[in-house]
Amino acid sequence: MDPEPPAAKMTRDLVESKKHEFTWKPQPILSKEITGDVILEKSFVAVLKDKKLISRAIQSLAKCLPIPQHLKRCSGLRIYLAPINKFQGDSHKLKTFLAEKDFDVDSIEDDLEIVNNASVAPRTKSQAAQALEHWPVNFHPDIDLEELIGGSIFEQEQLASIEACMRLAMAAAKEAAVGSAECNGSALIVDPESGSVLAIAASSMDKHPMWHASMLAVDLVAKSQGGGAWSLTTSDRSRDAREGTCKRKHPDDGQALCYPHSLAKLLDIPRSCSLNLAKTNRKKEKRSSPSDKTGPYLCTGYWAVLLREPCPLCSMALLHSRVSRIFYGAANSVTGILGSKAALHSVPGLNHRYQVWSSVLEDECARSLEQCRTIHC
Amino acid sequence: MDANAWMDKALHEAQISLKRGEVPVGCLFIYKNEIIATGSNTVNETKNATRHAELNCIDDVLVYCQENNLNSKEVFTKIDVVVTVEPCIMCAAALHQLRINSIIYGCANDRFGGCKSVFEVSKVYDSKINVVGNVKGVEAMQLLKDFYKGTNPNAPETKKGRKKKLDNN
Ligand SMILES: [Zn+2]
Ligand SMILES: [Zn+2]
Repeated sequence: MDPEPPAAKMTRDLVESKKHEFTWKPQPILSKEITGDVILEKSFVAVLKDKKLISRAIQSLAKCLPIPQHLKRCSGLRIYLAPINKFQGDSHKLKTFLAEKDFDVDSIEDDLEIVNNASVAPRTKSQAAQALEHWPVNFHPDIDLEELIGGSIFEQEQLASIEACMRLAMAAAKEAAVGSAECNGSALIVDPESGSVLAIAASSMDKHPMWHASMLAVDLVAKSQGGGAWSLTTSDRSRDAREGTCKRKHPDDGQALCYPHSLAKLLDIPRSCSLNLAKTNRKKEKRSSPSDKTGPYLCTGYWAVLLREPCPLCSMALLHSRVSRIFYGAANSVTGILGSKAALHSVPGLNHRYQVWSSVLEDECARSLEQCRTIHC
Repeated sequence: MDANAWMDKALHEAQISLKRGEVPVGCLFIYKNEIIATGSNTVNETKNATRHAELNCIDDVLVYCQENNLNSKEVFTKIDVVVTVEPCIMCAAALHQLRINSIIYGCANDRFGGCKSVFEVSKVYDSKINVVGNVKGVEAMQLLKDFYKGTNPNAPETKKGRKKKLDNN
């Protein structure tokens, strides 16, 4: 029997010690549209003289002042008309407009009221609750999003496996990382479906200015799929791949690919070491399967575990590569754009988004980062 | 040579990569008025989504410096980059980290542009790079349109229908 690989052992030890108290909690990095307060705007509201007039008023308004989908038309006898901006804040203008549109102006009280209402649909329960204090909204909570915000998205076993991955990342960084103030540390690419580590890399910027950990890890995955651009493995197949002689989907023997090679002897991790990264309660998790019948495509569906928040180069490399989730330990106040200086994954217009969590064993990661060699790039 | 003449050469490089089934982006790295690296996308060839023209040129400059016994760090600071499409956020970050001298690009990159279109990478770095856009932008955009009229043969089936522009860049 093979000796037990360290990642599997670490995970099992972590999971089996039922008393294991996690000293960390993954912090989701979310956009302001989700974490921020609901955005309010002022609108005119009319008060109907009689309950019986409601349905006629609704019908009549539907034609001349359609209501945004997320707002309810009525709140008791009060009926929503329009944002005050639309009528330059002038209630007389609005009433004249209504009269011209054959709305029965006599059915409402003379004075219009002004309310604050949600200007766009609330995204979260808490935003919906804020909106409701002012004007009723139509709101259907997004269960996945609420789980994400509440921090209850991961099961114990998943947390244990993420911790095991981060401990590997720390070991890799300690062994080999050489980076700059802008980017340093180590990166793992894992397949949550199979629970295997596909690639481990430590920043090697002394050898090449682009050899940031994530850049190396992504190229190692490409190599495992018969591609790759850099000469990173001893039995380098990238030349064969370029010439189209390498037909195998998985040319390697189940071993996670490493760079630099010193990581291999340190971290002997067969692909089959089985981390428990996927949810046991499967129907809950939306998955984009990385390995349908067309085979793996880039890093689709894979997760990245990083010692430190990535720089723009690495952040975008992982986005191009279509990883679905990123976990990092230490924040990067110099160039980090997944929480520190920006949140790239919430920039409007980008496709292939990933989800991001920070603060995985943050203090320990920050300490191992301090021990990494830093060069001036 | 002036910017237009350089761009013609970059566009020629992009045309060649279009024939190879890659997103047609061409790039030159110019040092002391001489092209020391020429590159295009090799994303499909390498199965690595980060192999953009700019990164391929960076690799070539490192080889050039090794062969000519030059300090690559210094050489990069004197390089002018000519590229047919606005560098993406990743490539813009790479160019900022290398503190290259200037960037001249053709058309904007609405999907991933890192100079101005989607995310301003320069805000993250202290370096100030002189950036000039829209040099023969129409020609550069036409090549991209030609590419996306077909489909990316290496993307999974389900993705093909949605591909419009710059998916691989
Ligand atoms: Zn980086
Ligand atoms: Zn790029």
